[in-house]
Amino acid sequence: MERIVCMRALDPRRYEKPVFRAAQRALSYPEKVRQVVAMQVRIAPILAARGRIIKPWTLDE
Amino acid sequence: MKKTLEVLNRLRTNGTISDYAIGGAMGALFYTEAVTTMDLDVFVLFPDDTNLLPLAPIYDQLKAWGYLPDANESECINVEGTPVQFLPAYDTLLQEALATARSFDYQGIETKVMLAEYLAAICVKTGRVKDKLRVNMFLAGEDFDVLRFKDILAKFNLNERFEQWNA
Repeated sequence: MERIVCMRALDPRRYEKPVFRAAQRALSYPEKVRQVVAMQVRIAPILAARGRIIKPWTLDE
Repeated sequence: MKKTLEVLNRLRTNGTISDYAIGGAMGALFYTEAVTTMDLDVFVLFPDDTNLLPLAPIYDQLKAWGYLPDANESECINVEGTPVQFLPAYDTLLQEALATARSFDYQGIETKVMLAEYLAAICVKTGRVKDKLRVNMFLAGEDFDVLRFKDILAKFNLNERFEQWNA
C-alpha cells in the first residue's frame, strides 16, 4: 500500500467566494445602501439601452 | 434614505398609518449582501382597515407634503429621492411579519424591518425566480433561524411550494 507522505493544504482560493460573501453580509446597512446606489449608477446606462430609464437614488448622508 | 425614513415615521406619528415595516430587497439588505433594487418596499397597516382604497390616505398626505409619483417607477412615490412602494399588509403572513418586525437604527433614525425568516417566507409565497435566489441568500446567512423559517412555512401552508423549489 502506498504511504501518504504528506497532505497538501487545500487551495484557499476555493473558499474565497463564501468568505467574500460573508464579509459583504457583515457590512453595515448604510454601507450596503451605498453599494445599492453604486450598482444603480452602473446599470442605469445598460437599462437605458434597453429602453428602461432609472434614476439612481439620492444619498443624503 | 435617512430623510425617506423620517417621512415614513412622520406618517406613523400623524396617524396616517398605524405601523410600517420595510420588506422586499431593501428589507433583505439588513440580513444579506447587497443586491440591485430600484424601490423601497414598505408594508403598512392602517387605522381604518375598512377603506376600499387603503393607500389613498398615504398618497393624499404625501402629496400635501410635496411628494409625487416617481417619474420612472410608476407604482412608487418619490420620497426624498427614493422611490417608495407602499403595500398594504393584505394577508395574515404579512400582518404577522409586520407585527414581529424589529426596530433598527439607521443613522440615528429608528425604522422597522421584517425579520429575515418572514422575508424568506414571503419570498416563497411570491415565488418569482428572484425570490428563490433571495431565499438562498437568506439560508446562507449565519444568523438565519431555519427552525423558525420552517415553522412559518408550516403555519402558512407554504411547505409544499418550498419543497417544489428544492425538487
